[in-house]
Amino acid sequence: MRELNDAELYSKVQAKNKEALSSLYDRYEKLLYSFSYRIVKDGGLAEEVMQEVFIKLWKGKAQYNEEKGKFSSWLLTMTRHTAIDLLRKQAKEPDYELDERDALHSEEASVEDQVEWKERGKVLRTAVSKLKGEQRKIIEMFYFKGMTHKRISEEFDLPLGTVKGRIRLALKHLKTSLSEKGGVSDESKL
Amino acid sequence: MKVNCEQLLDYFNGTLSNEEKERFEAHLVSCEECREELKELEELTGDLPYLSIPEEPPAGMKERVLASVFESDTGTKSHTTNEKPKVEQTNNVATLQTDRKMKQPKWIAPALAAALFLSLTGNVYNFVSEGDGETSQPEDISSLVKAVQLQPSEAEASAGSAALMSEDGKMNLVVQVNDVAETEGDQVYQVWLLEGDKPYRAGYFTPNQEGKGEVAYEVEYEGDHDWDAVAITLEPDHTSETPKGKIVLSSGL
Repeated sequence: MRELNDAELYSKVQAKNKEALSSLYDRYEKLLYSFSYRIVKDGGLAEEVMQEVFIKLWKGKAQYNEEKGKFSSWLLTMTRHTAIDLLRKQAKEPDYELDERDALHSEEASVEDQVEWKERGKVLRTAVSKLKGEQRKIIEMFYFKGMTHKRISEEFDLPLGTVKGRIRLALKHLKTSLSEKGGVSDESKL
Repeated sequence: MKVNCEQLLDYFNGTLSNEEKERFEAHLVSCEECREELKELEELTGDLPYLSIPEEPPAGMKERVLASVFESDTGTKSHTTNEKPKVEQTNNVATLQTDRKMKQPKWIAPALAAALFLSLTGNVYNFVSEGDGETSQPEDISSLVKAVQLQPSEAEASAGSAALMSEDGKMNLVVQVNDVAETEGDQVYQVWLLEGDKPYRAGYFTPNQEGKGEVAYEVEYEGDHDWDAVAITLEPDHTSETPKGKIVLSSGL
């Protein structure tokens, strides 16, 4: 029997099929856990994120449909929101130190069986290493820490109206740098 | 820029309140600029998750996560904690993800029969609707070795059932209880399998607010065992190697 694709598995999950949830879990465990870990920087918390994400999937609190794009992108966004939410609930000041590993090129930083992810990560880290510190920082605070528009404006001493532009610029630099490297395919099926 | 448009970043990060979120989504319908900016943000950040360094998931995380997911349906408290669990628990306790074990009608049936018998005048409907297993189609995968009703030690209202089932050569003990007292602090109800007078740990649980609790445990003790009895004690925490508390429910096997 052919393997079910994500959307098919998801609709089985909606019908409360536990095996389908288990399959989805297997498919995404490592990516979602690593991504959660990247955001919350703590193994226990990252596991809590996983738990919440899969409860949301199971209980249908977060609804996916194909209008929302690729299932994997939707799931990653849901995971990011869940992780950010948990960070906020920790009620401590999020630390937004730069993750130095983002700009590492060393092999040991990306020992990974999933080749595409490894390749993607490598290209990304190279691109990140070309960003100015300020730009890396704003991406970190905005994307990985989910800091509010207001907080970012205070942190960077920027008027509210220019924050969005700065973030966009930093992200665009990253993208440009990526496409110079031959780019990262959007068609990856990770 | 309109006030609403300023919320785009917080909307993207999911940090708006529900009310704000709804309002912003209504705004999105009418604001093409925001729609385009949102789409652009999604495209520009689409690769960023892959910046994460691959981390090795902790041992047993799948069992813990799925157990808590499926328990979230029944309202039973989850065993998943932040702490790194001991290997023993990781491998054995809370393997509820193979829910057939929990929903196996073959063992639910004796429980039901007993409930009917015990409470002919009671609210059987409640039990049936909450029994959680009766509506699903039986999947005949594991076979029942033995099912027993657990007897309360004192004149308490507690009741429960235990079933030993074998599945793919593995032995599982499934315990379900009703009307047990709430636990305090780190207290847990520990299930034991007894061979002669030697107790073996066989899973633990904390009941929900309605006094219901359940646990499925994969019995993996080396060698052949001929279990004589199953018992549940109230323990100060989940680390007891031998029973410290009094027996709450038990039955011969």
